Amino acid sequence: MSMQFQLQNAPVDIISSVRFNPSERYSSFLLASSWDTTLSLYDTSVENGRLLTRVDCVAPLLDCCWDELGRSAFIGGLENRVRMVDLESGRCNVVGDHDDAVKSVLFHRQSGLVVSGSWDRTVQLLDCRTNGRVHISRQPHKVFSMDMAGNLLVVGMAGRAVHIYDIRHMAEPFQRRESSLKHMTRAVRCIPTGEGYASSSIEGRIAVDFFDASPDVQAKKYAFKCHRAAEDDMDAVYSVNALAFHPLHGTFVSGGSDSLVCFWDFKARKRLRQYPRYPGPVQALEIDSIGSALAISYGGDVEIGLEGNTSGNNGIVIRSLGPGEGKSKV
Amino acid sequence: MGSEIVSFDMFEHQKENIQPLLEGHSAAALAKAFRLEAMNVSRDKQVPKRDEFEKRIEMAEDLDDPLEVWLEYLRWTHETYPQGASAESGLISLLERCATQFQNASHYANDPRYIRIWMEYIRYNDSPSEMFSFLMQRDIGLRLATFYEEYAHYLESIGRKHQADDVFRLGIENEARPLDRLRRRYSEFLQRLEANPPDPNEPRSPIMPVFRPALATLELASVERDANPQQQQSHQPIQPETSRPRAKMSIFIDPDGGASGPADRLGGWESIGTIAERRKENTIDARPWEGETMRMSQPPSSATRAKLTIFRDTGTEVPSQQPQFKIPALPQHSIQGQKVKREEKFVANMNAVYPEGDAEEMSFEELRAKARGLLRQKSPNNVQQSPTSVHRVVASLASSSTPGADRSAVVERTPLGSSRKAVLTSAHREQPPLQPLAVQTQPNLDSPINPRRRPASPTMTVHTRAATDEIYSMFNQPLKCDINEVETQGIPDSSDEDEDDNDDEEDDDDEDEEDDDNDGNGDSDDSDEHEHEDDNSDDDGCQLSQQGRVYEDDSQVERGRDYVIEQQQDINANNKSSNGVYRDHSNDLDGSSTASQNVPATPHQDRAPLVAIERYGIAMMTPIVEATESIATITRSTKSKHNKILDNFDENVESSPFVEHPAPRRDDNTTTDIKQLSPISNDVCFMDRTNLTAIWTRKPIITDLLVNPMDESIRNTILENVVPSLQSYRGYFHNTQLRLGRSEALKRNVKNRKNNTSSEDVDIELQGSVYRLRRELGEGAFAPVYLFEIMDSDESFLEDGKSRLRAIKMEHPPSAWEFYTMQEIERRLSADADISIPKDLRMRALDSVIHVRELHMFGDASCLILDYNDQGTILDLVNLVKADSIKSSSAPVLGLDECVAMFFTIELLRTIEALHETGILHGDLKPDNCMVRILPGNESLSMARLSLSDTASKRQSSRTILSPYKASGEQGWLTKGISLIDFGRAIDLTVYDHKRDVQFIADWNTSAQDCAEMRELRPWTYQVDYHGLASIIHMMLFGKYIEITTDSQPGHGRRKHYRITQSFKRYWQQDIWRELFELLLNSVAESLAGIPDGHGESTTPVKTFPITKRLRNCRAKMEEFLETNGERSGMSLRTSLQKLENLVSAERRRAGI
Repeated sequence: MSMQFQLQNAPVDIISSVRFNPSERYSSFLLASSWDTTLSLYDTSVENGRLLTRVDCVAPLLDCCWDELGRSAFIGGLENRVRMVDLESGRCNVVGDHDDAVKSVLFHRQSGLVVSGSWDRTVQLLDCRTNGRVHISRQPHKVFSMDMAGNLLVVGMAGRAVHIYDIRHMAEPFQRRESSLKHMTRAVRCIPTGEGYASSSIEGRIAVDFFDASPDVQAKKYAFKCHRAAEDDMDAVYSVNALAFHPLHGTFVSGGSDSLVCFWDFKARKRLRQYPRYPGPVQALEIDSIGSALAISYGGDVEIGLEGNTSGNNGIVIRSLGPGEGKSKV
Repeated sequence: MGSEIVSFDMFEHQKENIQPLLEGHSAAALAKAFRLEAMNVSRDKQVPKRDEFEKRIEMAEDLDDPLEVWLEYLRWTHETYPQGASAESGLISLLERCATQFQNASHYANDPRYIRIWMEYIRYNDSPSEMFSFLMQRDIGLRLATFYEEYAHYLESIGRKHQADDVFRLGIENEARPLDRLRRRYSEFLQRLEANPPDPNEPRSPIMPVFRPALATLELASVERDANPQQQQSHQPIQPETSRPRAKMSIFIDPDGGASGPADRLGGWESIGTIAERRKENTIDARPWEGETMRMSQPPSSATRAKLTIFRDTGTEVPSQQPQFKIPALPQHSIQGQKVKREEKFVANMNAVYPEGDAEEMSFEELRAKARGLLRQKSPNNVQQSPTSVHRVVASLASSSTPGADRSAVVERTPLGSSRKAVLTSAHREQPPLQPLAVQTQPNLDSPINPRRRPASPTMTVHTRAATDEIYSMFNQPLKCDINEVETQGIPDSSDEDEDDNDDEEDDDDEDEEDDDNDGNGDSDDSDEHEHEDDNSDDDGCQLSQQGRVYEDDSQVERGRDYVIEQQQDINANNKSSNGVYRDHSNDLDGSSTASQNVPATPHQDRAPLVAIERYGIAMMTPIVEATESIATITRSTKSKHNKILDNFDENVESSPFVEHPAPRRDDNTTTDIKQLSPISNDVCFMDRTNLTAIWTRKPIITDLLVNPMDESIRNTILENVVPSLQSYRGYFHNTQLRLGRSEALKRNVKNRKNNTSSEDVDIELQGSVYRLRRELGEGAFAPVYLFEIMDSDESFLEDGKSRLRAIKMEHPPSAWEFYTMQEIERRLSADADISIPKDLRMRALDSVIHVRELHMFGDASCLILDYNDQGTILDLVNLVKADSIKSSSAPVLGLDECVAMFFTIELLRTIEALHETGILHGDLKPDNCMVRILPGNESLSMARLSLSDTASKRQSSRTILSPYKASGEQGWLTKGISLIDFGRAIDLTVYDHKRDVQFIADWNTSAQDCAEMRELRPWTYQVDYHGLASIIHMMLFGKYIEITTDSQPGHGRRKHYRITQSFKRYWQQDIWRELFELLLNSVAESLAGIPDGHGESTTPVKTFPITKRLRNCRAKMEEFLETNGERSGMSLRTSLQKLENLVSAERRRAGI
């Protein structure tokens, strides 16, 4: 059985994003951005985790990501800016500026560019070396979630719009799509092989789509229901807040407001397993680069009330994954 | 057929089940059929017969008249199955087979037997007109009158009388046999037609459909038909003119024109098909389900469709518009097939996610940000401003505040700031790469007045509408600060324009005319204070600090403020300790100078507004209630003996009230008169401002909506701003220039006593009374409680003259808070004005709170003198019972008897109810903060406190319990109860903005005994007491500390559901207890129980909060139970109480008290 533990010194507010260090050597280093305005760096290789550093920012953070080497982080949030945080010195510089909150930041390894998506309906490419904006790409809607595989950037937006860009040609979307789900997009994550992407909605559903536009590939796309609970004669439909792919097995995990995390084999269209309920709605998920650990951030009020309270019940659980865990059984 | 005579009785009761036949039924056959049925003989018996027929039919080809076999078969079927067509009889399929078998046999085409088969078949068919047309087309039965009669009859029955007429005429024309009968029928028909003329609107299409190949010349056909209606009635199809060229439009013509020949000849109608064939749309082929996708259909209801686009799995069709929700409609999915789709319920707030109107959908993060007031802020102009500049700003701000600034500003506490306290204090906070920005919840107006307030550094400006409204409302108030500003402004202050809610109240306190210039209001500059003369500075410090809260424009400034405040507070403390806020002893107090005394002890009902007008030249928005009530009736003549202060306080600043020798060193000559130093006479202020309504409606001192109630600055602000001032409270003695010192001596002495190394007595003299230390009651790092005995005192001061023992709580550093809240409780509960709480309830609540006597504030400590209750706490009681049970029997009894627990619960509930009604939260309810009073002899407390004559007599009359439980307290039950202590964490709600639902945040380390909201860092209000109640009750019932668990399904509903881990004993009143704990632990959820969920974003719990009423109901239930069942067998409240009394007295004796 795999083990799991709570990270000590977790941020006190909702944790918006958890990101493992991309490098193999430091794959146990976890970044966590939180609504309590902090960016925390943990070493999850020790039991209960160790808080290595914590950077206090000016506004609640909505996303964070690592740079190429895993020495710095990029953060975005309600400050409307993208900042680069030097995790050793704690210094942080503004590298990008938006007109509204930055919902998503990504780092593109090949080009060394930071991609930031914001509620101001733009996606920007930023070069942190020159502190310059390389490109600004207007979107029809607020950006809710982004992910990249290779050079393909998937931008999930409001209005159920999904634009797929080739990051080298940002002038025009490579593909314009509409979400396969009927409700608001919550998260998009790319299949590591680059063949497609999974997206989740607030309505207990996950869709798997493929980039290849040929009809026989498109015929493979599908959506399925998940994160629902039978309540009397009704199904309570929970939002699927987070997705994360397993880097090796190609399977993915989903986390919902029902406080559950499930492993899915999207090729076999099967659920591999479901983990025991976590103490709060799952807000973010991430599997480390070597597929040995799953980070689960939970907390916040269930999205029903949304009275914006700073609920104390927040935390990060690190679940170590066994070698076969999350592996397709087919 | 049948030889015997058949009685109709045999099938009389079945006659409805007999299908009428043209030729009639054989009675014998019917009898046989129904006899078989009555005998319940399975029709399977008929199978051999049927097989025989089938065999014969097979071979019928060779017969001369194959139809004969069919007819026999049919006749048999009719006899065997008089009910007619059914799945069993297979009649329809038989008819069908027969009819189709011979449809091409020309020799049968006009055979009446064959036609009759057709006619029967048509009767079972869905579309007879089609069948007739088919027969006409195929030349079947056209020579037989039967055909025309049936056809006409059918047409007439469906109201096509013209067509029926046509049919008859056609039949006559065709000379159908028997022609006479046909003619007769036709004439009958015409008679009916005359009597019942046809509807002129009835369709008149030809009886025989005109057959025409696809895309043939329509015009021609219709022209021909119109020109020659007779022809089209012919059964011969019109030959299409396929080759006619059209000039305008080239019509596609099948190149192989001849191919349509045979079809034309037959009218393209070779077979009518079977009924099953014609119904094929309605049947589904059986297929394996595997791999099938369930198609979801549109919901039939158009009402929901208009609002909500329904998801379809195909994913190809996409609604053109955003799905919009007006109501959180449940998508009515349905799966084709037998399984009914379950209804779905969105757990998310769909109203919020899809706002009404054209607004774009909102993600959860946006909603969260919106709820926190962080959404859609403008990015500051100065983008590249590095965070270090924030530091500089802070530094400059801090330095700009001069040391003389006496103002203590209370910074807005924000949810973020508060809840992040732990983070902020952690080590890396020291050198934060980014300055934390405490985000304000209700700040921030881009002031139209003062552009200076614009932030100089990158900040986040938060605009919530509520905040903006509030600030505008503040600006709408008269700007009384103007004069001061002009006069005193030294350097620009970022907070100059800020208005303060407390200004109004402050006016009441500002009695000092001479200090008009300097009289700060909240907006005057920090730096101006040091310019004042010394003797005023104390006063200013005092008053200015009342200004308290300053609205900050941006958080940088605020943060700067934070530092400033810390400095200022230090300064304040220094000033106070060195000068003594209340030490105007140097003044020669004569009649004229009393006016300038800061002591709010001047009779001046109408002065405060007057002063205000004088001062500002404008009418002030002074709360009238406050202005008139506070000082209105104060007379300075009253002098009470205990209001004395030692003269040598002036001379010897470092002197201490400790008495070095047991003998009191009290000299009446050295006491100064009350007129000079006593803050206020007790009786007077005691009578004032007792109107609870006024208390609830007065302006809040703290307007933050999220407050840490333990915060020193908050408390100080409250204490400095209360009206009437703290100094006016009876028993308040302020000697901050004096040091109590000797706390070490006390500790040492206590220690020595414990070790039985008796040392000399330690005496302390407070206000003329000498108290001698007896022992330590409660330990504590900051507030140990000692038991003192009054050694020498004016006997009249000991009001009841009963107990000479006092509990004295020494607090380091000094704090007046507990005194304030306890005094307020007494004041409000004993208030005589119109308040919602019945007087009886108030008095009993008053009895249930420990009586506070005096507070002595010293420079280093404060002494809170309380009545001493020697009966122990609930915790002691539980322990006593446990120990006793161990002694007497082997099995330890955990908890008190249920009836006793219920009795104390009632007392607790009543007390807390009264406290809450008066706006006080205890804040720290736990078993060791709840003393019991069950011993006789302590009953007259409230009599001494309140001279409420009507009930006093009732009380006096009964000092011992005379009867079974009386909820009203009669018969001596008043004397039993509880006594709450330790109001150190009490909260006076009325000084907060309770109208706007102030909530509190705890910053201390929480334990399992703290309420769930605290532990989860959520804001709370009354919950703290509810949880405290639950913990005490739990302790009484189970003898254990409360343990709370949440239901395992967090997603179950909106909120977590808390419950205790213990389960109630079987014989307890489980319903009552369960309901009580349910209420106490889930107070918010319970209060929302009646309110539909998801009602917009602002589901503020406080609207139906507190749940006082429901607790009252709960209490009523318990009282009723105790009154009716309190003395039943198996439990006797009186016996149980008596047992406890004995235990307590025994314990007291043991302790040697």
